[in-house]
Amino acid sequence: MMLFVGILMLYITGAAVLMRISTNFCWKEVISFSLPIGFAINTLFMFLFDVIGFGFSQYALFFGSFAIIAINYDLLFNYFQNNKKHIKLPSLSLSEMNFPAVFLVLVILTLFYIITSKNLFWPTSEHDSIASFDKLGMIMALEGRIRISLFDYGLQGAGGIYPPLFHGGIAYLYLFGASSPKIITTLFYISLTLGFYTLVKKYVSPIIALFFTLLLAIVPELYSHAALLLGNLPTTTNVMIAALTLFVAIDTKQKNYLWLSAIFIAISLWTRNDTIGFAIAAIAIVFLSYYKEKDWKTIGIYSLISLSTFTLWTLYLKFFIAIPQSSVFVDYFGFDGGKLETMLLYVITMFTWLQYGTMPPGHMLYGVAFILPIVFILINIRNLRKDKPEVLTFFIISFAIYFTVFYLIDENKQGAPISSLMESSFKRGIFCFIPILLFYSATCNIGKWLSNKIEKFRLG
Amino acid sequence: METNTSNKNLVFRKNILLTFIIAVILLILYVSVPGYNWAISEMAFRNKELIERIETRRLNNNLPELTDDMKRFFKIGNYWYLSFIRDQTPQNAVILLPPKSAVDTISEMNNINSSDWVEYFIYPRLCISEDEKDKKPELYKKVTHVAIVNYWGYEKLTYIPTKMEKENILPIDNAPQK
Repeated sequence: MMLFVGILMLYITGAAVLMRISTNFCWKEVISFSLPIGFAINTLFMFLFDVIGFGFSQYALFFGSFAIIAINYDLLFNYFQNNKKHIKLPSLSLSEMNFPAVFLVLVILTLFYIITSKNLFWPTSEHDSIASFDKLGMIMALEGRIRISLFDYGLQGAGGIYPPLFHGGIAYLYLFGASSPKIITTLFYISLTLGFYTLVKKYVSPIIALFFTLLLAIVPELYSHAALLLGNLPTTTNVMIAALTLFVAIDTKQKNYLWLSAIFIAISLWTRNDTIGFAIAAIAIVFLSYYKEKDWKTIGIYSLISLSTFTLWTLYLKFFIAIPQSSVFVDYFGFDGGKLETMLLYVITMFTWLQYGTMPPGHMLYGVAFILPIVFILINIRNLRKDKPEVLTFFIISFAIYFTVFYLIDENKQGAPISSLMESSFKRGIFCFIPILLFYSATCNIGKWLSNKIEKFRLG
Repeated sequence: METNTSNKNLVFRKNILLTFIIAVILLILYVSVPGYNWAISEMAFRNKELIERIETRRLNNNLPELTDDMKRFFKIGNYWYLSFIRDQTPQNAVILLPPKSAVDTISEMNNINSSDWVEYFIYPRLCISEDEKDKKPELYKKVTHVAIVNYWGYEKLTYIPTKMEKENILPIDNAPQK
């Protein structure tokens, strides 16, 4: 029961903050976006309690969230009053029913049900989670602080230096009585699929939006993560919302989506600081879009919000965690052709059906999630500069930074060859690019043309 | 009125046709892309069947609902040993774990040399692997118990135990624990 209350509080707290940005979001957007915001707010509370040296507890977090809800009660109430008429079931009349959409929804729900059953049945068993995230969350809940006692003995695991959103989220669920915190994965999976659908549907028909949502939900490697307690899926969700809301903001010039994007960049950096490449790409896109109008204020505020959590966590690591960290990057930059070739071959493998090393080929890991966008880009090649150039620019900048970061890792310091890093960390980190490319495919001119043709045929 | 009905019928038939086409596209993707095949048949349905089998057997034998602790025995090969460590040591114990070289040939004892991993199961006890003795000398000095795995660890004790079992957890010296 308390767990239910805790999860409900997450959603309402997130919705309350969302209402401060704008009351124009539809209810599907509110459900999708409010969960990560709710977790971010509560982990920020944990952070503040930790910094002032006051142990956090279930009551402290509950009253903190309650205060945010109380402050924004009017906005929430008005939003509910104005939008309750939109919360309705689709027509059940056979002649009016959108059968293809209903069919796609049923497929998505079936797949969601099966993977959720698996996720909630088995307790945590993934190595990284046991050695780090679940352990950190469990002990944070017991000790009421972020810098838990295990840091004194170097037993915190690799995730100890990660920003606290994911393991703090796990701690939150333990504090509200969860016996297993794996429901966090399911909640983020809902936000990922619902958020993607809602944002894509702004451009195309429900059928195309659902088809691409299904392609996202069933990316094989990502789908398997929907039953694991690892941070990659929540990171993908946060980066997806940050990127897609930025594209909507650039496209429609709606500032509420721009601020939401900045907040989600900050939330992504509050989940993993290696998402900095996405922050740089987003700031670059905002700069390119607003510098002609000399709107420095917007560029400045966007950058400030985006990088706020990164700065906060870097300072916390330096002054509070204070454990010596040796850099894993090369001391001197030199061109390593062999390493570059290996990495490029792995990337080609991931994007296609070819095989390199011991890693399964791309269509085994990601289905058609990379192949289909490549096909769409090739067909749309003449319109690349006119048709949503911000999406591809964002992808190119963020991917170049992501690739460079891995290229600069010193294999000796890391204690693993580059092939091993490509087959593990790189392979999972690449999830974040999938929603961006699928969004491009669904909403580019070809996607829209396809959507119009289908709707014309269906209703004509 | 008649035109309206025939229009509705046409829309209905087109909707059904479109649903059929989408179903065929999904089927083609499922059959031709091995990743989807694996995700749906292995990841989704095979796991669902496994859970159903476990639950059916439990219900047939009138057993109580499985706890997370019980489920871990299915998933983690050496969970019995981790539970044994937890049950046999006081909460303030510092446990010495074997080095990788002592366990790397025994798949059942996978990860037992990783202090980060073992700590999750034994908290608030602390642990340190023999491989980390130079990295964490302060903690190494505080060791109170030795995790005996595959006969490794008896040489770390300050006494000769009466029985030498393959796996055990023993105090590092036989003086009473404070």
